[in-house]
Amino acid sequence: MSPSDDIQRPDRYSELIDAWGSFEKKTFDNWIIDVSECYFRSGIGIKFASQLLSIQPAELQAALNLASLDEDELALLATLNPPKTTWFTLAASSPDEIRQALDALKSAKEGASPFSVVARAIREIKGPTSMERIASLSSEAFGHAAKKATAFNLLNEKHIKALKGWESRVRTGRTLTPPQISYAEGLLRELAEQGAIVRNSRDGDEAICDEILNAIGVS
Amino acid sequence: MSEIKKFNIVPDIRLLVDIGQANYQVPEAVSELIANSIDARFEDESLEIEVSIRPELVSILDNGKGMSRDILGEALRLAADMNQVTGNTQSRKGMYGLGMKAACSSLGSHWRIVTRPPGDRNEYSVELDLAEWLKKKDRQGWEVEVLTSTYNPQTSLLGARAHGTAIFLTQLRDSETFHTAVIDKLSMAYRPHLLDGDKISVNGNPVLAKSYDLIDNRRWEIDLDVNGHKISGWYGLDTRTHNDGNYGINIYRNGQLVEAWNKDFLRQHLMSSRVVGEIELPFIPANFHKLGFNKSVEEWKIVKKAMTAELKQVVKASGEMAKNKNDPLRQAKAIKGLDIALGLASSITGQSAKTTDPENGIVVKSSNDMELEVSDKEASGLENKQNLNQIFLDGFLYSLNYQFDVLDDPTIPWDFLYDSKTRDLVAVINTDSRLFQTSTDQEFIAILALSESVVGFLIRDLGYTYPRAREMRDNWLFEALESREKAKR
Repeated sequence: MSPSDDIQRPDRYSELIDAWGSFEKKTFDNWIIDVSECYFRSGIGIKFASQLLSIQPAELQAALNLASLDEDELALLATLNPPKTTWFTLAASSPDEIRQALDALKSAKEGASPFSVVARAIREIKGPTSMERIASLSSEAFGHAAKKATAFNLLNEKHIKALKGWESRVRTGRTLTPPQISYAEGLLRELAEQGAIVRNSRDGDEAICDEILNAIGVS
Repeated sequence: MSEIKKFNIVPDIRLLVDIGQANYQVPEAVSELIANSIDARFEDESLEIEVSIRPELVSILDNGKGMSRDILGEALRLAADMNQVTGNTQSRKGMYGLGMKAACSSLGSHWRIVTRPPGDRNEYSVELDLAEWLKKKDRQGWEVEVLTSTYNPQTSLLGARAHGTAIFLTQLRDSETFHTAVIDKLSMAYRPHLLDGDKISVNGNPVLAKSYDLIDNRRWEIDLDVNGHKISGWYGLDTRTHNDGNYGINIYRNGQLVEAWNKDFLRQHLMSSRVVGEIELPFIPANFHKLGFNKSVEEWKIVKKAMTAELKQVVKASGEMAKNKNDPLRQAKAIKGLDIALGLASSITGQSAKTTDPENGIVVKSSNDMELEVSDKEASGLENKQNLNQIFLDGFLYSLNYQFDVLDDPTIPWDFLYDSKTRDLVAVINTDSRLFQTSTDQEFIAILALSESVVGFLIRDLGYTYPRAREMRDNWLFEALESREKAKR
């Protein structure tokens, strides 16, 4: 850092404070862009910046995430000024999802949680994620994957044991944890890539192969 | 009556010293001198440049074309048009005829330049002591003396080089220079030349072309035509995000880095911070110190527009990688999305499978918008009672939810967002936090985060004292969990 940076720093802080405080004076999209630019110019971290602004770190982070959207998408958001509890979700959404979410917010019942309204609206478009689809796989699917891995001499012993473990876990009514789902996705994808689990399987296991391929999103 | 009187406006000799007050740091000044060496290279011969950085001396020796006596004399003139002097028709890095003087003057106040063109039996040298220079009475006396002497490899400062130029600077302005900083600068500044086989060493250490750590080692070519000018280069995605600002586009002009990590073509943001690349812009003039481009020219505005459009998809891909941290395939998906957008791959869509709704209680979902789900059984008839998705306080109902996302500080395990207008409270669990990354029980983390968010919100937004907020939290949590257990039964 050069001495001139030091000299400019207080101005950069004030610039950020002014930008955050100008919410009422600007359109939502311009406000988001200004806050983001001032934050990155300030060179300070999220924790210090949120203390400086007397806000929650999540609030600032959500605004910064929104700044990564295209200008058109931000302009769309500016038509409604969505509640801050929806910002993280909107920042991770496509233009179609944003449109659907804003429509849902406009017609939401009084007292409804904006977060839930937006999450549901986006889920309607997105459908279940691959992680959710894997979470909903039957115990038979995991057992079958283990059998195929053994037959095709794919995966190692530890991996096959994991697949069998999930077979029992799901059979007894328990769900997989997110790390287990991630792990399972990798293993199932490997089996698909290596040709053990395929569409139109000739092994008489078409239905179960399709169930697995659908879950991992392979057409 | 009118009269014309002529004035000699030759500058004061002080200018030769003042020009060294330019904004050059040592690495930049050395880099500028190397630009001259490269301008004087033979097209068909590998260039070797040796830089020495010592507390009392900075030297740069090259095996380039060297200079004749007349050219050396001209080279010391401020704002000399070296194209005209040397008859060079190739594109050069030197633009204003000031770089060498400004760089030498910013490094030290005693200069010795020795040079020899190929096949010449003599070598030519100049020695300048700026302290003595300033003592000159003739304030317009810009003459320098070029010494001609017979070249002797045993005694010459050029050593055994058959041709080339050596610059020795002493009485340094800054004697504390880290040669590693110079290496770092040169490795990026002359990357194209280093890749082409030119060699630069600093204190005996070879300077290697800066390497990029790219995802899948992939680069996408940039080949744009802007008003008849070509922009060529590449972009890629760094394997990590950059809080340090080291992302964006490195812009070269005739193989010399003029602007490092330019961010004019993308919005400065952590989510864009994987985007890196290089372009060559020979048609935009560099500014005086070649530490940036002249951005007021119309061509720059056109370049900016074209490059912003060119990078749009890779910026988007960079953003996608920052989202959905729970998805181990997000990187592959983002790259795939980029390829599809660029027409380099076809779209493969996954078929949706029906999700089975959980029977009861909390379900931890793996998507970005997780929420604690309450069963229908639990929700029915419990409108104003506590459960994990709501808290009833003083006659008002507040919604509770949580989600997983990245907070750009791993020391923050979670935080919350509250919208007072809709009484909507969302706990945000930081997927970059140590707690999240070392825990496998995300349901438990979710309840902890929500509990602490409730306390935080009661104090900050509703003005309760900590003991009271804690008591309210305890009661809510007890009732909510009991309600869930009953519903399960």
